[in-house]
Amino acid sequence: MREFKLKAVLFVGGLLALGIANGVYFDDSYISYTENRRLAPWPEWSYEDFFSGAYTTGIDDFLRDRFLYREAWIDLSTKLSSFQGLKTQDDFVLLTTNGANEAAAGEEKTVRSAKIVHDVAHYPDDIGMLIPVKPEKGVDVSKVEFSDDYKTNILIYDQKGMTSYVYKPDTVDRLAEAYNHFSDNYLDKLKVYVLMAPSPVAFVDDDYARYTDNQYDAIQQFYDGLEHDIVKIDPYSALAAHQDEYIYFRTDHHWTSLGAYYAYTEACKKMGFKPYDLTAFDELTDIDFLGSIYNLTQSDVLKTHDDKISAYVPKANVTYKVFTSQSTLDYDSVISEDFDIDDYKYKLFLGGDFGLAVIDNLDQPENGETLMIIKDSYGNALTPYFVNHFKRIVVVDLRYTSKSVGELVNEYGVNRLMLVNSGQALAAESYADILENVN
Amino acid sequence: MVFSSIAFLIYFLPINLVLYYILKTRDQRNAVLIVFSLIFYAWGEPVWISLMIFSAVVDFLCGRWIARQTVPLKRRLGLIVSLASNLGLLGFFKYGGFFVDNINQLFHLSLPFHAFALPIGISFYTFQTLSYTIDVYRGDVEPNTRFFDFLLYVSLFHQLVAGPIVRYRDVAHEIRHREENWSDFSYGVNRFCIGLFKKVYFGNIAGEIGSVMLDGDLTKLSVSAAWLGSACFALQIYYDFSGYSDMAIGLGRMVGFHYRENFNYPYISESISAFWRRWHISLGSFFRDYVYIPLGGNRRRFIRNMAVVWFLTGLWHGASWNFVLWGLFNGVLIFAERWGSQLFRDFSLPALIVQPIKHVYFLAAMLVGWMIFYYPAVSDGFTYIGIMFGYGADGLVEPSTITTIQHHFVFFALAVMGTTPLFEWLWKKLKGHEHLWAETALHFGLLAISLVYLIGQSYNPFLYFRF
Repeated sequence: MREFKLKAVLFVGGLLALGIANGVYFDDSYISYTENRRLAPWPEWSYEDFFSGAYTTGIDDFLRDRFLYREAWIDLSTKLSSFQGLKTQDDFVLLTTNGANEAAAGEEKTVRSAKIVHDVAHYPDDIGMLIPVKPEKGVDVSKVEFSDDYKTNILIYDQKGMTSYVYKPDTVDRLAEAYNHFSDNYLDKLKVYVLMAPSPVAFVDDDYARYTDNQYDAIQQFYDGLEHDIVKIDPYSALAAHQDEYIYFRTDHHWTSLGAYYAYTEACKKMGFKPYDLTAFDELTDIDFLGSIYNLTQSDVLKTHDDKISAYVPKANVTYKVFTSQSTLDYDSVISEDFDIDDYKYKLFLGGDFGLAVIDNLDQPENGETLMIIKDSYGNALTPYFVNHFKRIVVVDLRYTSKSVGELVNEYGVNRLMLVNSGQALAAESYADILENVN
Repeated sequence: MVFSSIAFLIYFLPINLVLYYILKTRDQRNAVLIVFSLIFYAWGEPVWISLMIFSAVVDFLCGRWIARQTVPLKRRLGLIVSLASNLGLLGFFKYGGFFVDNINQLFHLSLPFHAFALPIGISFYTFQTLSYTIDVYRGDVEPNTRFFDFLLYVSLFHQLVAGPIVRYRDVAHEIRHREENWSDFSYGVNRFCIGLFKKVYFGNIAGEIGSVMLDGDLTKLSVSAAWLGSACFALQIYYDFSGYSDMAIGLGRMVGFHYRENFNYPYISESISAFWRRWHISLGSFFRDYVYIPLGGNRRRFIRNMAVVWFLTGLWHGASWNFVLWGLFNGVLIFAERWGSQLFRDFSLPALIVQPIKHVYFLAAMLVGWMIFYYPAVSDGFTYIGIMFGYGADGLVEPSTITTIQHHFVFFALAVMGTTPLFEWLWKKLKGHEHLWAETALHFGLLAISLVYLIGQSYNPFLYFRF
């Protein structure tokens, strides 16, 4: 009988001790770098939220996200999961994600549940992800949700990982229309270029092609849908010609500096420039990098075959200003380890994604041209190559700002405008929403 | 709130038990259970808690009314009021939208209907309160005279949201006269830990693996992947549901309640009829006692009775035609099995041959059935079942099915073994002497692993933040 009592006491006492420990010392991290997301805050009280159940759900999220030594628990669960299967020769892994970023199955770390709202408006400045500007009008970017657009597979083979592409022709048409709608405001005044970069899965090995839709077709459909006056820069064949080189990261969803270079050479043909050779740049080499695909999968294979970043830095003297909601940050390089890159090494390029940043090339004559690049993060590795050709480059990321593009064009005297996106954007209705609503 | 949440495990449950055992009188202890049950329910359903309380009040009053009346007509009135209000609430909240949609489609109308989100647990607690008034009407049980005792029965969080459907007569005595003891408590801890592990480990992981096949692109599904997907769903729903029942039974034991078992290794059945004697037993017996037998059972109008019961059993699972179809699918197979066993009565083959054949038939029928159950759109279900039999399938086997099995081989082996009495049998063999410490270590180990997985599941990286 005494043993029974002891068992009961241990059970209740153990759980209660966990409860008390968590109540006293909850994890106060604001953000999880490996997950690339904000951790749930304690919910704000309101009757409305209480009666809708959102308040109590918020408490559940808080408890889960701030659990004491959460990372250690997660590591442990990853280790436990590794006992689920048999080790095999063939290291192909397929993970499937449903909804926002809910991944399931696979030998590796699995991930799931919860639709995450794209809440950039809440990111703090100090980690450089930011621009918490509430738009005055138009779309509230803080409310943009990634929905089923992102139902994807993650493939790992030959020690590299990539996300599949989901081809929905209607979405592609809508995006082309949104680009047209956006460009209409500027076509009579400026040269408008569109560069749609294939993501790694566009060059997937034939053996695994069944796990993704064909991104090449989507890109062609997209270009076909663009207005005649828009200058179309299609880097697909330039990249395809070099697909055996290190043009995409193995552990991340971005292209490398080299991949971006081939796109740059293609762009030069359409812009009337002679591209600079890679030898005309200073080279930063051998920066160890475990990227987003690793974070998502926690794959051992990717961990042991991590990426080495090489970056080609323009030799020109530049000033690089980043405008955040609270301050302006000044740098003298567009590719630098001095950016705060420890959490995510791809931030080597331009320091990450910002709503607005301006690069001035001090070696160019005062009356040189100004280029505006409206981009997602694929633009970060590409932009530095254009520094040699322009007096000024205005870098805009519409996901993080609500500034009026029209006003910026006037303010900076923009001569050419380029829209740069990764092929994954061709699955994102939300990006069409953004383009349709900016002005 | 759900049992497999951190708030429940580290705050709600331990605080509930500590307060319960600090207080000494029956009234105080029952009060603790009621208050915690209301908090538990309001946590997920702050508005419709009113509905549950309303349902409890109506049935309490009806029960008393029925017992007091001697005139049959008046007694019947009490029953009708209770039936009408319970089934009315269930009909309005659970089936209203479905009903109006069908009327609109049938007659090309556009009647408006504001569909509410389904109040949590309404299917369970209305059946519980129904069983009470019917039993009082039949004279099978004495009516409860204290409202709070009755409210405790209706609202008790152990079985409120996911069953089992506890009949009033099974716990009537224990509401006031149960005896808590450490042996029961310890048994409750065992059952709770096992149930939590079943839900968090087996149920959740099987669900994740299955969703790759079930929610993916069906045009790219091979025959083997289709069967694997269905098998994953079968594992998921069994471990989820029986895990919850285990936890409910365990929670009851911790405070002296003895609920009936709800599952008895259903997947070792050799026929669909046997399956339904082992699966969600409290639901099957509810329909047997309150619908099938009153209609005449197998003595009178057998086929009609079967049709009604299986139509309702299907519909109980959700307001959608696929559930009805699934219910009828089970009913037809049970009917066919009955007919078949009469037909083959005179053949006798060795059990060694017959049993595997029967079991394979059962597994195939069950897996096909689950796919009717899984897809709300009946056409999707048929597409999927077509793929299982090669129609519209993308090949017989493809590499990803094989890798999925390899990558989870240990998991699948354990999960399949866990649906049989193997572990229980093994444990009894080993036990023999005093193995309490080993037992404690095992159950706390399962609890710890469940916690690790629960927190691990919060790992939720956001890939497309930067595209």
